[in-house]
Amino acid sequence: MNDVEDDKLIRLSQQGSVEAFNALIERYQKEALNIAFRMLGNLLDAEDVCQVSWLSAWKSIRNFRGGSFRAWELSIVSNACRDELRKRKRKRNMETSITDCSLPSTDGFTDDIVLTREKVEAVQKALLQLPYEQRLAVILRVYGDLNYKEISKVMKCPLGTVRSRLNRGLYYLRDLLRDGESL
Amino acid sequence: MKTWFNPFIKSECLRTRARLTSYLDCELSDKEQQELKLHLKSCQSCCEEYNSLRQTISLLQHMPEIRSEHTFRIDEKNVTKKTCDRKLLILSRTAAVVAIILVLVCIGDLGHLFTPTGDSPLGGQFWLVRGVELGLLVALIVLISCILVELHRQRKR
Ligand SMILES: [Zn+2]
Repeated sequence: MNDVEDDKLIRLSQQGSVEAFNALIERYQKEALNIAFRMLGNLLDAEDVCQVSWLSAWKSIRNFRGGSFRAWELSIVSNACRDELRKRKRKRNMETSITDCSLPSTDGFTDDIVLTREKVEAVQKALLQLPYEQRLAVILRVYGDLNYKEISKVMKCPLGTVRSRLNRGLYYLRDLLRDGESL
Repeated sequence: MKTWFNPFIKSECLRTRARLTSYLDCELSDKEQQELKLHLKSCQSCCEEYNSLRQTISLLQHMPEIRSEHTFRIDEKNVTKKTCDRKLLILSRTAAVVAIILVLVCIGDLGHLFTPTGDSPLGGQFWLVRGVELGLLVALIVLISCILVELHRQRKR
């Protein structure tokens, strides 16, 4: 199913083909996982969130009315991340700080590592310190490769809000990284 | 007048900085992109801001990708099982409703509810009631056989 276009896979999935939907998952799972990880800072949680998202995407694939599948799927992932963060907030007994992040051991990363582990950790921690909306906007832009219009759809907010969230988020991130001498 | 005393320049810098990310992503109108480009050429401090934001994005882009050991899949068995369960549920609910209606009609029939006094027992009403009873019975038999077939299929799987 590798050469089949998204549109066809989506149509087949809407007709109930599990195989076609799994082919879609295969196509987008890496991106979904990376976005969930950047949002949550924890691989296990990111995997859970992805599993939940794919299942809910399968259940609602009939409601997909064209447009960018990537954006549609990422909006499901971001909703699941928000739910996960809320769950954490409720559960948190202040044992762990918000900025706790558990990076996988080196074999959890792909091979093309350019940055030192310390730097990777610093960037991930800085990301986790951003307010939720700014973090999501930055992550969708950088790791979801979405344009502003798509981000505004995913985040259900006007374009101007996307602009300001991205701008503020990026400045904040820069300042955090400067303070930690990672930039 | 020295430039740093000029409030116009300062607000121009503020306006520029508020739009730097959009400029970086080429998400401004052509006119605005030009405006900012011109300003950056002439303003050292905004240019530094611009470069620092570009570095931040580049750092983000160079973060290593995460990979997972397990592959995500929708389990065909689970999904088909669920739809089968749903089918069975709908079938058995319908069968129950039909059975209840049939019982009610029969009770009414036995209690002569449908035969108005003075009517011939072999009149139109009589055949109508028998017809309804027969119809309901047939529907019930069909539904029960569907349930049995579905159960048999599930067991086979
Ligand atoms: Zn300036």
